[in-house]
Amino acid sequence: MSHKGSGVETLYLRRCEDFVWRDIGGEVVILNEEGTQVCLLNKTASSIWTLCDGTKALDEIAAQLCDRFDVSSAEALADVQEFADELVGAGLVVWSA
Amino acid sequence: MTTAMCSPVNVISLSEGPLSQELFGELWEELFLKTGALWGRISSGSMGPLLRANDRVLVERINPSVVRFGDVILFKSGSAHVVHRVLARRSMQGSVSFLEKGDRNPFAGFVPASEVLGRVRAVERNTGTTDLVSGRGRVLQIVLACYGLATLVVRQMVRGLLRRFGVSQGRGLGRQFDRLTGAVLDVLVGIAGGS
Repeated sequence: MSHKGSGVETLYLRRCEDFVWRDIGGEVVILNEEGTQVCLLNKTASSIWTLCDGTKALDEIAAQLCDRFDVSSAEALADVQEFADELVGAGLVVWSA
Repeated sequence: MTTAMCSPVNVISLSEGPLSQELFGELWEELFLKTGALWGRISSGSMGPLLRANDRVLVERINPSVVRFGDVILFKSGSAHVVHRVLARRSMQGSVSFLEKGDRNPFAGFVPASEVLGRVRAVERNTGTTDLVSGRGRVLQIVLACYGLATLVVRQMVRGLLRRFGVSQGRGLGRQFDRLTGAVLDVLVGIAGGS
């Protein structure tokens, strides 16, 4: 979804503002907008979630993950892509221009 | 602050899960303050039979100045969220507080207006949703508040009389009184169709 430098509009990941969340020792807990469902993220997913602030594209998030965890950039990008798809599908995160 | 919070209190339960109730409460409160109205779940029986464990309640954010006699308010006691009925309003040296009591609880306490988060607007259980702030629901709230206040006064009077005549109160008498008042409460709510 990132098209940086390709002449196409770059898309950024942004957390949906309807949810409330807490970072508890590196693990994120998200409560849905109706206050009925809780989503628990593991450490890697939590790191990705906290970086979805609307100012970073997928490749930038992946690059930051490479610094935090001992993973290759290809692996990090694949993880971020997979997680982003899940989050967008769940309505927790949106793409923004 | 004079707070005689009775146990069990009504805690709004948000979800069953491995996380602490405290964390859920924190998140729920943040969401509630953000949205202004939110459903929560009752997890204890101190407001029975009107509000029972597992009932869902719609809580709305309100200015404490509009809290009325008989309203069921949401406030915090420590880290727990409590919903209890308002039996009176007290204004002392510019600060307002409310006399609150669980319908099933024998004792009451004061909660400062500044700690009131909201008011229970409606209750939902499998039989449907009941509006508690207008119409028939509001009348029932007033009746229950009058009854709650009356039981508090009678309890104090009986206690005073027993002390005056040097009669040992014992636990049995208090328990019988609670059983009697609980039975009347069930009948009252039953007649009003709130149970």
